[in-house]
Amino acid sequence: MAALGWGAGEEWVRALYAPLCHQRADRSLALWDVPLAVCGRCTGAYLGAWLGLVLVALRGRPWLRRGALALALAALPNLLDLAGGTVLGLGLATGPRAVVAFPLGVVLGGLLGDALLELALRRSLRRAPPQSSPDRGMHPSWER
Amino acid sequence: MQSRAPSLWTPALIGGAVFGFLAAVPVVNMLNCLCCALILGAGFTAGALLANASKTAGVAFGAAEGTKVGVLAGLMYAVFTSVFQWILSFVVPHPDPAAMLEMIDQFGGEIPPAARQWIEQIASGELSTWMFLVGFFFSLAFGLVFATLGGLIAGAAFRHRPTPPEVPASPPPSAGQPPLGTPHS
Repeated sequence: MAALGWGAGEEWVRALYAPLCHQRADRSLALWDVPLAVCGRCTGAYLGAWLGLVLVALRGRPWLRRGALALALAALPNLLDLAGGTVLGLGLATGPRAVVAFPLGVVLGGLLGDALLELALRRSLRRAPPQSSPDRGMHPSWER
Repeated sequence: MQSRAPSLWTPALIGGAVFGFLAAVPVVNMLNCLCCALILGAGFTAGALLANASKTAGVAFGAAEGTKVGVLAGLMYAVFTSVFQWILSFVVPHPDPAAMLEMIDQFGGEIPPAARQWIEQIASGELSTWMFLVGFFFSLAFGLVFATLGGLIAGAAFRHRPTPPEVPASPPPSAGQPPLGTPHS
């Protein structure tokens, strides 16, 4: 927004994200030489979450199997980077940090979309005639 | 036999208390700068604990249960983090207002006089009750949003439905009787 000359809009966006991110310019990716409103790690996570949600929306059903395992695997590199950065001072640079956070965002977005779909389906089943909702529970596609 | 659903309060209390305490500890609370990771963690942990308890009790666990426990965990988080912060304010010494303002001057430049007075009052501990209420309000607002998200994510990650009880096989129809559903001539 700053690059487009929308100064007021930029301030609003920065204020919106202020409680969620430290917004340090030296740890943020830049677009047209203007640092983004969130740090590199948050940018990667948000982009990934957006992709995860889009994938659920496009498929109309969950795409992630073994969500807990996927979440643990995606979180591990981020935890190692966080620990390396704070304890040993060997954290990744901004770009690689965004890349590492991206898969975590995809998994989180996928799980969130999956949960929202389930809630929507439950709601629609509750409104449907009783014979179509045998257990008022989960759609067969969500059975693990 | 109908299985009894486990209580939502126990996992919500555990998640809210543990992460509420972590969010009150001065350096550890920086983790909340990472997309409110501690608040998300409170809801997620509560969801994971409820999923485990539901599995043991033979009850289904999904997004709806995750949402409910996430909301409660957010509420507990707000209560516990505010109380722990209040307790820690007696243990951790208040910063020197002059040093604090000097540090802000070094980084930021101009501070409006009202903001300067506000910082001095906060640093001297004059506004502790007011700050406690404001802090609680913000923790509650963020807790209700992000812990619910954490609970939702846990609802998807740990979803399970109970295995139906084994139905005894029906005896085969005897030789003289037609099977059920056969029209009589």
